[in-house]
Amino acid sequence: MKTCLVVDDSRVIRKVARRILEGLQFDCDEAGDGAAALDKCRARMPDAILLDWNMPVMNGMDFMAALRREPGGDNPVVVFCTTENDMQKITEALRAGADEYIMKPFDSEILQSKLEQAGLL
Amino acid sequence: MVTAEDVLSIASEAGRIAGLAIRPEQGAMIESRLSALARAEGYDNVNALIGAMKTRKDAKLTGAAVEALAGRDTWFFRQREQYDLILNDMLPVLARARGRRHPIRIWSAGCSTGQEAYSLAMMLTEETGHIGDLEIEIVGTDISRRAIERARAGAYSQFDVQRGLSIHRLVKHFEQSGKDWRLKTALRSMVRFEQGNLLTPPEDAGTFDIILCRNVLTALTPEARKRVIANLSARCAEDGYLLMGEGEAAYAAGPFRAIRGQKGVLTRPDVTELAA
Repeated sequence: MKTCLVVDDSRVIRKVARRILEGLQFDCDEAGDGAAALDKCRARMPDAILLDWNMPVMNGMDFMAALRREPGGDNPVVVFCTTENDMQKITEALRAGADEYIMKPFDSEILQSKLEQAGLL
Repeated sequence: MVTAEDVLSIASEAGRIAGLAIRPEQGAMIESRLSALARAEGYDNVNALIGAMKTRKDAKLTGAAVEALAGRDTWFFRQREQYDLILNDMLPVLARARGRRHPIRIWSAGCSTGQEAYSLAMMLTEETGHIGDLEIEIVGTDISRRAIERARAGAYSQFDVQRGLSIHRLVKHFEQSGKDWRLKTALRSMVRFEQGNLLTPPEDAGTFDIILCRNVLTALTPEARKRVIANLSARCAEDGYLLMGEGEAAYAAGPFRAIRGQKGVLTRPDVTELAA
C-alpha cells in the first residue's frame, strides 16, 4: 500500500483529501503546515505528498525545498494542491521540483486523474 | 418537472434526428440538459421551452434541443492506452503503407467539445520519433453546433484541464485566458472542426485512416447504431482502424473486426496484423 502525506492548514481539506486517497488504497497521514510535514517525513518518508502552498509556519514551497535536501527527500512524488492558479505560480512550482499540480477546488475525479498523471495509480 | 408525455415526444424527435435512445425514465436527464438551452433562448424554464417546441413546431429550436441532449461527457486523453496504440503501432504501419505521398487522416467522430481531437494534436507535436515528418490531418465532427463552437475556440475551464491532462501538458500547450485555459494557436490550427450528423451518409469520397468514435454509439438506438457503423465504414480506409469505447466493439461487427487483446480497437476483416 502506497503512503501519502496530506499537508494543508485546512482541517476540512485534509479530511476530504484523506477520504478520497483512502478510497484509492493510500495509507494516509496529515500535517497542518510545512514544518510539521517535515518532521513527519524525517520519521517516515511517504511515497506521495499532497501539498498546499499557503500555510502558516512554513509554506509549501519552503517545505519542498527543505524536503528535497533531506536524505531520501527526492523520492516522494509532490503534488501541489492550492488556490494559486495562475501560470506563473504553476511554472514556479514545477521548476522548484513539483511533480504535479492541482488547482483548487478539486474533486475525487481530478485528484485521481492527477495521481494517475504522476504515476501513482 | 418534465411530464411523461413530454419525455415521449422529445424522445421521438431525438431518435428521428440524432438516433438517440431516450428511455421513459430519463425525464430528469432531459430537464438537466435542456436547462442551459432554455436560459440561452430566453425561456423561464425547461417546461416553457418544451411548450414552445410543441406549439411553434420550430425545426431550429427542436434541432438545438436534440443537440443539447446528444452532448456527452469527454476529457483529455480518455482511454489513454488507445492513444499509445495510435502512436506506437497504427501510425508506423500506416506510414509504411502510405509512404510520403498521402497525409494520414484521423477523424474524431462525435468529438463533442474537442478534447479527443486536441489530445491527438498534443501527442503528435510531442512525439516525432515514431512518425518522423508525416503529414497528419485531424478532423473533428459533432452534431452539436454549440459543441463545435466550443471546440473551435479551444478554451476550457479549470475543471476540464485537470481531467486527463498532466500539468506539464497544460503549461506546454495552453495559455491562461481569464478564468479559462485556451490552447495555443499552433495547436488549434492542427485540428479542423465541422458540424455533422453521423446518421447522414458521407457527402464526399474522402476516407480516413483512423476513426475514433468512442462512447457515442451506446447512447443510440440499435437502428441508429447500424446506420452510423455503415457511414463510418464508408469513410474508413481499406486498411484503416476504428477505435471505440469500452463495450462498443460488438456494434461494429461485420464491416470491422476487433483486434485481439485491444479493447475497443477494430480494423477491417482482411487486415491481419497491427504490430509495427
